[in-house]
Amino acid sequence: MLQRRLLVSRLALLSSLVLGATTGLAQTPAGPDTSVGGVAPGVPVAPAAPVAPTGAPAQPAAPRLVPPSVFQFVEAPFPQAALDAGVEGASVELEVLIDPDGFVAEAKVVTPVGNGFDEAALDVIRRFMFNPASRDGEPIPARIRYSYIFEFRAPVVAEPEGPVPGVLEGQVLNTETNAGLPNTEIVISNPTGSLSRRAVTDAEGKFSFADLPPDTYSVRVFNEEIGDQDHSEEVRESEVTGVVYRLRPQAAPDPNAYSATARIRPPPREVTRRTIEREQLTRIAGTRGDALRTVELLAGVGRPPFGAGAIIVRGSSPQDSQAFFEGLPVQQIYHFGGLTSFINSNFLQRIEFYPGNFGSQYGRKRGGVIEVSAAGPRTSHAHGAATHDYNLHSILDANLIDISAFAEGPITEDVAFMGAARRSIVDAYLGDVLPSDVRPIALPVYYDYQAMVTAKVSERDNLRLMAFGSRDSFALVLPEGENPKTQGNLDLVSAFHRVHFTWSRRISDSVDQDINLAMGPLEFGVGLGNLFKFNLSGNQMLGRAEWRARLSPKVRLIGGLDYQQFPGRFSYIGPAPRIQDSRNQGPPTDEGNVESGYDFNTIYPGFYLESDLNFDPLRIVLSTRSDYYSDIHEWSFDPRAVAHYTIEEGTSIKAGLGIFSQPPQPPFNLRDIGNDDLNPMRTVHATIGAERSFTESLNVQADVYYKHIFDDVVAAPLGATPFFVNQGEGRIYGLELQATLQPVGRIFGYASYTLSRSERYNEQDGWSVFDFDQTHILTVATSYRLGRGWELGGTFRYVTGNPNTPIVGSTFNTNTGLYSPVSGQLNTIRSSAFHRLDVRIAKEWQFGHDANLTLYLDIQNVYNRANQEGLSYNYDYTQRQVVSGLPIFPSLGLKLDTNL
Amino acid sequence: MNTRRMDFSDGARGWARGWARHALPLLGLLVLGGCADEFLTGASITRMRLLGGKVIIDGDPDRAWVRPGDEGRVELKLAFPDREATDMRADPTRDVRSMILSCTKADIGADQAQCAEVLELFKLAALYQSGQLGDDAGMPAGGPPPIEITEEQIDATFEALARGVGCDDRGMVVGEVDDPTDDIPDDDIPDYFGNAAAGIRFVRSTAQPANLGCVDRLPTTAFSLAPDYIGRDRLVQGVICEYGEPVFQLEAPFFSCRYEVGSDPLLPNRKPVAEIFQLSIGVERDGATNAHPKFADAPFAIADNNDSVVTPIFEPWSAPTAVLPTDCEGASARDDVLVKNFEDKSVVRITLEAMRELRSTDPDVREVYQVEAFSTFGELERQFSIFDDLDATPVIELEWDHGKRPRLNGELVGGKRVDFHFLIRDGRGGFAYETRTLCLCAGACPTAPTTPAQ
Repeated sequence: MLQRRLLVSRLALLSSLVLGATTGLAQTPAGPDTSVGGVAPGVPVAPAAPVAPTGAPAQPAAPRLVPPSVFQFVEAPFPQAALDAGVEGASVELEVLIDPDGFVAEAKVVTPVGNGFDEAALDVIRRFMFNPASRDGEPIPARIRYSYIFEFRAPVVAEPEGPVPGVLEGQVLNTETNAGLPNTEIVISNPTGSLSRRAVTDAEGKFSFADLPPDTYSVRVFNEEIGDQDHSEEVRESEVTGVVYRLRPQAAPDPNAYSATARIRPPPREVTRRTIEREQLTRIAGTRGDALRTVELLAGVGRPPFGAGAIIVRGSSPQDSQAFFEGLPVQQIYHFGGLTSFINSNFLQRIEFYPGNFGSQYGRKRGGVIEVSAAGPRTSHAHGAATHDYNLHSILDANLIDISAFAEGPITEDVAFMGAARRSIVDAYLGDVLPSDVRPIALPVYYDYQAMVTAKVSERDNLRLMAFGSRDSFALVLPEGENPKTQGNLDLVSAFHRVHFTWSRRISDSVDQDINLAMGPLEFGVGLGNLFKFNLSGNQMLGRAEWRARLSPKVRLIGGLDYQQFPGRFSYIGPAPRIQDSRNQGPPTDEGNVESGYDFNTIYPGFYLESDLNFDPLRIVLSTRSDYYSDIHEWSFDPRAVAHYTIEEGTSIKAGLGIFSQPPQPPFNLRDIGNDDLNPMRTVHATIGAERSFTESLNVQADVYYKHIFDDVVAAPLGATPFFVNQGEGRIYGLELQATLQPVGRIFGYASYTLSRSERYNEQDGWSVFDFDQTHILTVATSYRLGRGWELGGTFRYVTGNPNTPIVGSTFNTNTGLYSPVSGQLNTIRSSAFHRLDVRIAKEWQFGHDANLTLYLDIQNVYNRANQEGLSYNYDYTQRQVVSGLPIFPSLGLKLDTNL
Repeated sequence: MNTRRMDFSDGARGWARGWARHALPLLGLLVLGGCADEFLTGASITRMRLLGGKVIIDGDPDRAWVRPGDEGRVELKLAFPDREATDMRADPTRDVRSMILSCTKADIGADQAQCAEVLELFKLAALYQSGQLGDDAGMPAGGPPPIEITEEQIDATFEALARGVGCDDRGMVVGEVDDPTDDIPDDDIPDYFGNAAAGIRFVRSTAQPANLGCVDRLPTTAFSLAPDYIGRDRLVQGVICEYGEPVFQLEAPFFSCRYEVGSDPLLPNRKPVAEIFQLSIGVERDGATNAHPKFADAPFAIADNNDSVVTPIFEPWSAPTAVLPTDCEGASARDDVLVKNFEDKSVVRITLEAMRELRSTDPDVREVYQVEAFSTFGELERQFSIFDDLDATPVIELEWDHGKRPRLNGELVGGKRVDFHFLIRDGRGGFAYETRTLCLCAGACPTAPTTPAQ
């Protein structure tokens, strides 16, 4: 039975050349080909058999020629006719013309073997991709002989397959010639150093490590003649991580070429997953090297006014999306509403963004999800085979906004650490630029810290302990102005601290377990004189346990528990809560202020179950999730489904449909000033899309989505009790295009475009566009290494202006002496479009192998565009003017990276 | 400096975080944006302005909160850029009309006060329309029949609320309101209404009759509170129209002014003003009381202020006893008018009572005074000054910059009358105001009173 048999195709590059130099085709010397590819994830890779050359002899006086090599292998099905005839194998010899782009231009069978083998081989060879032949580094066409080998492997007894280990494979190339570098040493090591392996590249520069437990590995690439490189690669269960490393043949390692990975992954279980890898995270212009700010580049991400740090995903409210750090939610990802993220960028491995139809492990949100993954600390064992061992890797970074330090290294053979800390320095000079009548009590200060220790306590158990936290605070005395209520103290404090423990255990060969537990205090307070005070404090307790079992090669089952508890206390003095929208609320006033406060203990347990059914080329993920919300005493039940269909290697279509529930948030769910009898808000996500990888580094995604919101929380008519009700609706639809150019040589980049419409309905206003409806969002970002340590990058963004509500009049409150605006129809005007160019220039100096120094200048809004972020009004709202955002803003920084 | 009022257009922000994000752009504005000097300042009277309203109880004018059985009136303090508000009869061409609604203030905790009767009407209508009105006891089988309240009926009810008040040149319109359901046909109200109404705490208006009065044509509304009144604060809402006709409509803010172009030949040269307002009137409960603040004992003084003056020499500044013509004619002959030249800026000083009223609900805490200043010409340093409980010596000093010399037809004006208005609000409904006048002269300046005062 086919499903019980493992079909292995082998191929071999027979050899070369048919035409002479005058035709422009390559005459390549024959050579062994050890290309592999296209095998099922987790299947040990068999080296291809070398085949003797059959072509004409090479011309001795020819320029330096490099033969083509297989870049992308396509597996052919074993012909049914051969099975019926009892034939268990064959070798089909093909003649193939490869164009300079690596595509197959022509193909024909040289020696037919029948039984369906010829047709099957011809069918798939046209879908191969090759590294083209080259003459003196210039790609040229080549005609080669290629033998496609069909072979049966004995049926595999269904041994209990555990979480299938991953594979790390790749190729080391000469940057200038694009040719493989043989005899290059590859040494990999897991974070604790308990697993270390070594390989040497073959004649094509290829290497492979099979049966790797999922982990993040340090990779040292060392070529005696050319130099070395360090990388960090994550190997995931059931996945083949494909990498391409490029080395420049010069005395020192090429500082100009990006050394990034091209990953070959099975389709994600989500419909859409957008990933930014570590290599690019800190090099995007306009982010000041802040990794988390790169999320704004991705398709489907809107822009909040003032770039205030809120994440707007597919026309949803910022409160509808959630950032997770290592699987657990974090309530704040930016300091001071967008200045910089709460986590040191060097601490991160990758950021993954799910704009919709995300997996069942994520719940309680109906917008999008951002998953931030920490990198594992590097150990000295990663460098065991290299010449530069080290005990401490450290990075110091200072710019006009903050100073940070990062360090990592081994502690013992099985234990390693990583830590970072940052503090703002704005307070050192802000006092001098504030208006003289603004008296600072405590100037804006933020800090954050992260620390991690990892340990491999057994072959089956890995432990990790993290501690991290963040704090923002400031306090000012505002001057007397036109509003007497806004004078006095303006103060803010936002802080959290957390200890996060992770235990990963391989229970058996087929069952994995991950347990994450975290807890720590949280504090948030904001005050404006005696007018408004809000304080929230408590201890968050978070937990997630997940078990993954492979029931068969085609079926995997995942189950999990997701627990959140937050005992704490809140107090509030201020205006009666209201649904926030673009209607101007008018001047702060204590008229009608309400006061509330009590101890609470919200408990949110959640359960999810997911089946991953792989009927290659169709993969279906069916899941369900259920959550309980103690504050409103309600349950939610969210069924979800995702399907991926692989048309051919690198090209797939996908679709997803599911329900996503979210509890109402404070203050709407608070008793006294809200309604603690609300229901969860729900949204149906529907997405279809396609994805194609044109080359190893160029990937294009397109998605069309529709979201329908129901049970949305809206204000009760005229603000009467119970103040808020689940009677709102909404609809959001759009198109997203994203092209990603992974680092190739000296360049990488992103381009994304989003076309969308987001609308809401309530009884008072009818249908209207949502506050964050942004019709067009275009982002282009790129970075280029100029050479000699110079790097130049740019980011351009165009976003349709946010909707706004016109003010058509005002009313005078004779008790306060203040005017309040009278709003017109909701969201019927728009701000002008936002566009901005950011540029980043960096210069790096290398000091041996152990240190480098980078000076960088990040200039935001290079052409000083006065982007409209809002409107300001005079005392009675008869005059208004545009409030512009950030003017041209250069930020100079210095970064020192050392290995001691 | 003018503090901006922000509209950041990012509607569905988190609530408390929204405040935090407001705070940050505010900080950013302070650093990057500075002041919006292009805006008209609130301290400058450049159009007809309603400055405040004062409750005057018959027989007890110092009291700010009303008691059951009280009768009195609410006077609205107006200011005009070119004359005294109390002198309206001196300018018959000026057309100022008003419409005022008196009702029960709803207890909804909103910054925008609402009439309880209006809310109850809406709730009633919603209950009718959803078929939820009623209880099992009196409900017919299958639930209550849906009863539609038509827009006309609601409109009629509003009219009933509104017609109790008003003061314009066309005489008073007097109405009486006691139940907003009066205009709902009795036949449409089922028997079980009483039970349902009790459940929704139906409010009966007791602001009846809303007698009207006009004092020197100032918008004024009279009130009387039933002797057995126990209830919420009262709310006065309305509109004052300059060159327009007050109109009531069914949507918030319920009032507007209608301007009929062509009906007034001067209208093209006049800037219509619609001042929509609301005023809460406190009702004494549980022995809590409140009195109006007083300016009476507060000495007003004014002094020249320039770089060469280390210590300004203040001179008393008394209230005018008669209206000064806008061109200052006769100013030099009057002791009650201060004459000032254009050479220097001025500084105004007001010394308030050190011992302010104690809060009856918290005898250890004195009232917070919000003092406001306005001028009809030039620019005062700020509009608002706040004195909290800890301010033992509430003295206000405000710089006044007269700005450029006024010109008329290209010629320097010899003298220009400038009115100053000063208000005190105690934050609880107490209100007081004072007016001062000076003559700003250009060229030959009449001798000013010279008695200095420290």
